[in-house]
Amino acid sequence: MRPMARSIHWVLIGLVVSTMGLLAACAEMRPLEYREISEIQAGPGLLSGEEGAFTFKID
Amino acid sequence: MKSGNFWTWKASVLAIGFCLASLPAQAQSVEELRQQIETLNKRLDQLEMQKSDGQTTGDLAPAAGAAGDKTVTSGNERVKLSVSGQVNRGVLFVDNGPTEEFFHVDNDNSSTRVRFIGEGKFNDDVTVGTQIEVQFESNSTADIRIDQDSPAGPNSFTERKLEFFVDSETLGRLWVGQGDTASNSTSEVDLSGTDVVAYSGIADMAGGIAFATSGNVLGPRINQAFNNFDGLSRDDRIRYDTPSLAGFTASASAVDGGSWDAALRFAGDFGGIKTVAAVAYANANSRQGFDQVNGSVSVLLPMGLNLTGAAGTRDISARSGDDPMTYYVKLGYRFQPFDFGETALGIDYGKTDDLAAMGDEFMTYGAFAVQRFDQIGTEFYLAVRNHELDRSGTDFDDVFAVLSGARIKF
Repeated sequence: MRPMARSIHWVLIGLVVSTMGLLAACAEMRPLEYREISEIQAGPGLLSGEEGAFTFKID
Repeated sequence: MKSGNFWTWKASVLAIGFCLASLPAQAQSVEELRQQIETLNKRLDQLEMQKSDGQTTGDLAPAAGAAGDKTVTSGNERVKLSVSGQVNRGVLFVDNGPTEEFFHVDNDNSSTRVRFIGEGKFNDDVTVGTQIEVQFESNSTADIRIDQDSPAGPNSFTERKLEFFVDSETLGRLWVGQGDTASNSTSEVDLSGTDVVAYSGIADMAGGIAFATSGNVLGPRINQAFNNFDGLSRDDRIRYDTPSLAGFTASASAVDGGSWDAALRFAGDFGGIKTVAAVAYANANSRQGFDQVNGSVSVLLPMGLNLTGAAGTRDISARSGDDPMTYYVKLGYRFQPFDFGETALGIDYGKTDDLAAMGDEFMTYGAFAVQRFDQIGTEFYLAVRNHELDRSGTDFDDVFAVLSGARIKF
């Protein structure tokens, strides 16, 4: 184990979280819908058109 | 009057009478023909207008417009099934020093796959859903070997997600089955628009390629020397996500075999400055013998400039000495010089130490471009990347790779 490396990471993580919290608390923050990159991304498809998916709905 | 003339005259009168009697019917037929011709002319004009629209706005416009036809009925109410997927294929050139090779590959940055999501509303608050997502990779960039004789891969579908969820707007979401653990993707938040070919998981580009000495003695593969410590990936688990509160979402999951993890995510827009971040802790000591902490953050400015970073470290219980650690940074720019879609450019740098062996120092850097073609759901990409591995006592050549291809959503 490398204590220094571990400490640095925890410090970095703490900084990121506290910065985000501070920004969220102080700034006018709007929600952002973020789709993780492992997901099939939103947007149009070659065959499915603007929706990007074939959606079968029940009326 | 001779009788013959009489009959001739009588026949003529009858013929004239018949013709006079049929005149209204002929007039009616002419009118019908005229109407039919007018109808056909109108239809022809419509077709010509549609063709003209297709040339200017994309031939797929009718497909998009046909969305309203994608409706079926059944005995259930308030349910829907969404089917989506993508094909992501490319050509990879690799030079590991002694050997150069071209491969026709499935790009493991975002594999070829298909997904089915079923959703049904229980009430105004609760939605129940299922998700089946499988991938089919032939010659995956993560699996290829520099000396392979046939394409790599299982030549079959492999699991990604086989799960159901119960989603409450007030209480959060519960997932059960094979799917993302809470910590998965926490090293990979990315707003650069180039993740289809480059993100913190750089081993997805040519991960199966081994480093080699000048004498062609093979060493560790790229994906053995590098890891972005991205949580516990996908697994059989039960997972809970809180509702979003001020942009934050907390998650935890218990994984088959006794592993567990927890994560905190953030996504927010500060006056046009889009920010996403995630941190996670994962404990896999019961099965894989490690615990780790990792995280990532990505910021996209309104002008298109973006910065992404990720870091992580893993404590391997069976190893003494230094823990493996990694970090990654990316600088990118998104803009739209063409009407048909956005362009994204980027450069990155990554480093992983002490992973394949104590004292190893792995380093990578790359440059890449992605061009979107929105009307056809397609992204073309080109990436160039170099990989270096320093190991005491062994002189490995760099692995140089170029990947170009396209991801097409269907």
